[in-house]
Amino acid sequence: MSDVKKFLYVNRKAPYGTIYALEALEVVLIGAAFDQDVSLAFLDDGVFQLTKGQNTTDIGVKNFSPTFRALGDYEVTKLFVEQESLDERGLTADDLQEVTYEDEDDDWAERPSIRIVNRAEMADIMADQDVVLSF
Amino acid sequence: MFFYHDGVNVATRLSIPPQDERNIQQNWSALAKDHGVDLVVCIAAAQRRGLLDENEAKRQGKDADNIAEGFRISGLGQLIEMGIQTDRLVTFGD
Amino acid sequence: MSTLHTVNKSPFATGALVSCLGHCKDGDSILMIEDGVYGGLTGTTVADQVRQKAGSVMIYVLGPDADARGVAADRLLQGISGVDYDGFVDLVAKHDRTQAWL
Repeated sequence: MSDVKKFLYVNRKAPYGTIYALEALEVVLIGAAFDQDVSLAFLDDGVFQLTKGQNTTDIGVKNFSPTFRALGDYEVTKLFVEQESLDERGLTADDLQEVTYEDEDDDWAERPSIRIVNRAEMADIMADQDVVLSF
Repeated sequence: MFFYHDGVNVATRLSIPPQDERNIQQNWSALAKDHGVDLVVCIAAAQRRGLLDENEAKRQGKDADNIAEGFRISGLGQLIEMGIQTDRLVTFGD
Repeated sequence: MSTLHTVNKSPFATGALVSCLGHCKDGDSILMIEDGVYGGLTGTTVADQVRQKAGSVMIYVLGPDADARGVAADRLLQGISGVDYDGFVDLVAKHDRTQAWL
């Protein structure tokens, strides 16, 4: 059997104006079945993908923000969000939706999947990966 | 090779670039033919953009298919498989 | 372990190059391709940021893309060299992973 690889999905684009955010998420969902060590990175405009209060009714496209909340069920539990990208956009952690997973190593306690990291930490995370997928 | 997002549009056999321009689809088909490169087109992205092979067209009740020679339609899982199996993964995109 | 970063957009069109510069680590390489080659020009608003990294990160432009755009070698920042497609492949092989800044 091959070793488990670290896969990082890099999200740098805002949702809805282009299809990249949605199609990136589709890769994550399919990819989850392959039991690799998966992380998602949200930086630059990618942080906008995780904001609360998205209502797409009047633009007639699917609101896919709830899908992030399902990632925990797919064992995708590491969503790294860059602090500086939030700051540049006048956002704080409170502007982001809550995404959690159940920690099987801790009696299924609910834990946050979103981990806010600074730019230097994000760079370290990127440098630690085997495969980086950008969209 | 894995074609995703708008990259799937490369795989149509119906494009007619001007004579004095490169024919990207033909270049890819030649690469597949001459060097055995596997050209995989993501089914989800392809369906969104109206790129079908014969089977897909039949399955979906469409009156035509348009995929070019050398390309094959497959699932997103193939991309992950490629990431797992290969030593290097390079992305070209928008 | 090191990374080859590819940047394919002009730094005046998107923030991709600046973001890349902000995330690369010593020993990495940056390869400017397609419209990204404009990021290698002297005298621009991002030149200082590029210059600052050029010490610890190897920065390249893809020759064919630079030629296509009339970006001559003498208009590139010091320390930036051109590679051809073979050189691109060599860079991919040399580093442990490739990360595209799209």
